[in-house]
Amino acid sequence: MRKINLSNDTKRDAEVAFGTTFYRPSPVFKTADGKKILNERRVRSTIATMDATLVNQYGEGLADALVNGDPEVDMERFGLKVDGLKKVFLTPEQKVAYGVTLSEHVYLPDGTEKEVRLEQPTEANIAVDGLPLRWTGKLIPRQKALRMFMFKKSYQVQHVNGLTYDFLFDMAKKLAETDSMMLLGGGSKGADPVVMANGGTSYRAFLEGRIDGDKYTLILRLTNMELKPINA
Amino acid sequence: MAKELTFILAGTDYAATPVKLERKKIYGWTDIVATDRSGNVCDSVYLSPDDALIIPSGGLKQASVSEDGCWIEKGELTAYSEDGTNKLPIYPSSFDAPIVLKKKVSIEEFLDNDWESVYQLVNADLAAVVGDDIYKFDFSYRGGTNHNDGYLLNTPGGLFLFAGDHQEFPFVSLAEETAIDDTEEAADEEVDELDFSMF
Repeated sequence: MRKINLSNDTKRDAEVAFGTTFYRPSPVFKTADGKKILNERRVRSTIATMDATLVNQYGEGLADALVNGDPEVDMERFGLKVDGLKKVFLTPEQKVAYGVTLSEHVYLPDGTEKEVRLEQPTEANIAVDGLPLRWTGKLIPRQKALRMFMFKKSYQVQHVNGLTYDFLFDMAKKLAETDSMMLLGGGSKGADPVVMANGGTSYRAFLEGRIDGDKYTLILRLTNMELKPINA
Repeated sequence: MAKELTFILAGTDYAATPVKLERKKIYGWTDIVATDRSGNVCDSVYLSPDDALIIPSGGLKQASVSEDGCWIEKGELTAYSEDGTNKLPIYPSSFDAPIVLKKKVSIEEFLDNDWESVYQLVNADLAAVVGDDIYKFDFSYRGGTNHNDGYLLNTPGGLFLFAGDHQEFPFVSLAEETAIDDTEEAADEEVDELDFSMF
């Protein structure tokens, strides 16, 4: 399980563990005679067979070239198995670009460009020394929360020793007694969204707690989408 | 015309067209654009390190091949369980027959799922009869081997169909302490630079 730094309602913090055992099994495909098959990435087209390249090469004669031959298929490389591919950027002259600047073009739901800005990569903030995810005090009843958000990911939070058992059991008990979820926040003010991995998605995070005698379940629920009506 | 799902609740039919709920439809989206030193927009491509082959975006295809490298069409294949022993059942698409709503579930049963998709359903009559209840049913969008648990949930934002799979969250006792494994890799995360403006 991975490390997460959490604080409670009295601003005491502790490093505890979180994780999930959930996974979706992948089917195995077999032929009619029971042989397993392999799924591999194969080349379908190359830079030489791109539309833009063919237009540049043949100009107005492209239609004739397509009728008379197969310039859109790289016979040597079509179906080639490729591994270890690197992602690079290509200039309009079809040379590998160096010193590339990445910018973010932000669009509204209707497709209008709202903003252009330099790329702002996210940084993980769940296990930063001295900056635990904060118990914000904002409680939302579970009945309301499940009707407000689509929880995209959920993880179980678990103790790593006796002290953290008490710490997490107490959290779970408070949440169970109020039948609510607690909003967690990152950063120095506890107002930032939660980022689980560098370059990862920003989420709003909630804790949900359940108890059964001296056992508890503490669940970290992540959401980045509200249940809002959309235009069909 | 878009296909409709039909639900039967208390003997009455209700039809609605599912529309997939996506972040881009609610908040918009962000494209990453690369420019070179001269300000020219660059394309993202793949480079094969072995032979410096440049493969454009969309130039790769996932292929099914036999052990001796022969191409095999998907239609010739049968799906088995992950360990390769049991043939997977083929489910009909949920569009093919009405979905009978008869099983109500608790909020825990609804919450403890890993969601694959959420769809908006517009049918005020169905929303009214669902009320505050949560209904569970078998769901398969396209049919075939893919199958989920479906849930119908009425919210202030409208009626939604959730498709997902049950996720376990067992109770743990003092004795069941675990260990932190810092070498464990972060779960694959999709990169999404969109401003988060929910609150």
